[in-house]
Amino acid sequence: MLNKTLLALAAMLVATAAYACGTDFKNPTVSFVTPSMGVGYATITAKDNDTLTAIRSGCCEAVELHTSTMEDGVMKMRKLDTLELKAGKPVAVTKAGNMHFMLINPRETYKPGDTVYINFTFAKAGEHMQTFTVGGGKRAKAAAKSKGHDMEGMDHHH
Amino acid sequence: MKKIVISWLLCVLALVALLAFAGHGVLPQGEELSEAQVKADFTLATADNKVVRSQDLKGSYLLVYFGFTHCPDVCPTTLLLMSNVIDELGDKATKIKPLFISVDPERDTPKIAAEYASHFNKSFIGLSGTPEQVKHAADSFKVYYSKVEDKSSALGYVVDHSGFIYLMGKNGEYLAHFPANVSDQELKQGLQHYVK
Repeated sequence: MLNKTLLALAAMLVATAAYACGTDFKNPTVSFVTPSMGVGYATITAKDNDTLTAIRSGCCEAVELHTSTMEDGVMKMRKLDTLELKAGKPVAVTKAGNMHFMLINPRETYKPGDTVYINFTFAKAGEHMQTFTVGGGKRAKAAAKSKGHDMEGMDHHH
Repeated sequence: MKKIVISWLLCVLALVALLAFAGHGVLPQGEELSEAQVKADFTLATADNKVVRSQDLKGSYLLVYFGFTHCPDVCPTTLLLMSNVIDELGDKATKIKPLFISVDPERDTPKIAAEYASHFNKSFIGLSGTPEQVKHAADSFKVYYSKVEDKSSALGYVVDHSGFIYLMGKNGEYLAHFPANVSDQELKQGLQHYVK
């Protein structure tokens, strides 16, 4: 009886994982703009019509989805609580798509090449753990171009 | 009578021509930005709380951007753009002081603003101050900014702000402004044109 129960549970877990794996993340990257904030991008495609309802990560105090728009010459950023996804249609959480992930108050100092794990909750697909590679980011690019100044040794302040 | 009407019409035409060809931009409220309105007038601070006044910077051109360090996307992109163009200007770059002025004095102390700006380019001066000092600076440039509370966000609030890069002359007078999404080429051409 116990074996059958365990088998059933295992099958449910495998089925859930298989279903959640139907959500595709293309080019997931993050970069840390300051010691207290990072920005992440990815293009998300859901297998079926779905809704992103929550984002969590042990990397930071919070990871949030934000829009970034220019309206009448004014830059505006707004938090989104959910994101609707149509089956098979990529949604660009990118600069071109006017959206980004905000990584707020990271719990450690990340370097280019590190990996950040972010968990996404979808209404239908369930939980999806996605890895994001830490890139150089714009400040690092500027610093590298500006003759040898680098991001190491920045004061860690919040 | 006829001469008075003609004179009046000529004055109106001259005014229309002046407005049409003068440098202008659009403020978020729809108000037109004119040369006469914008000027560099501020007393702020940078690293080590060193006071920086606009009058102390006379003799240099100022390339100014207003933003805040919790702006993860547009502000870094704009500062990187400014950095790339400054680095490509050659000798003229030494005549320009690039400034980053924070519109979030609650979070961005002068030290934070200075450190943030300097990591984009060693020549950048990051400035902040008291809320009153920041407001005075923003007002002098006709920069719009507004704190927007969001208790559902771990940020607590965000700051809406004008997205322009300002070029000011050696006496703090307005020369030009560029949208934050200006191309490298256009910004470079503008600086090469105005910086003598």
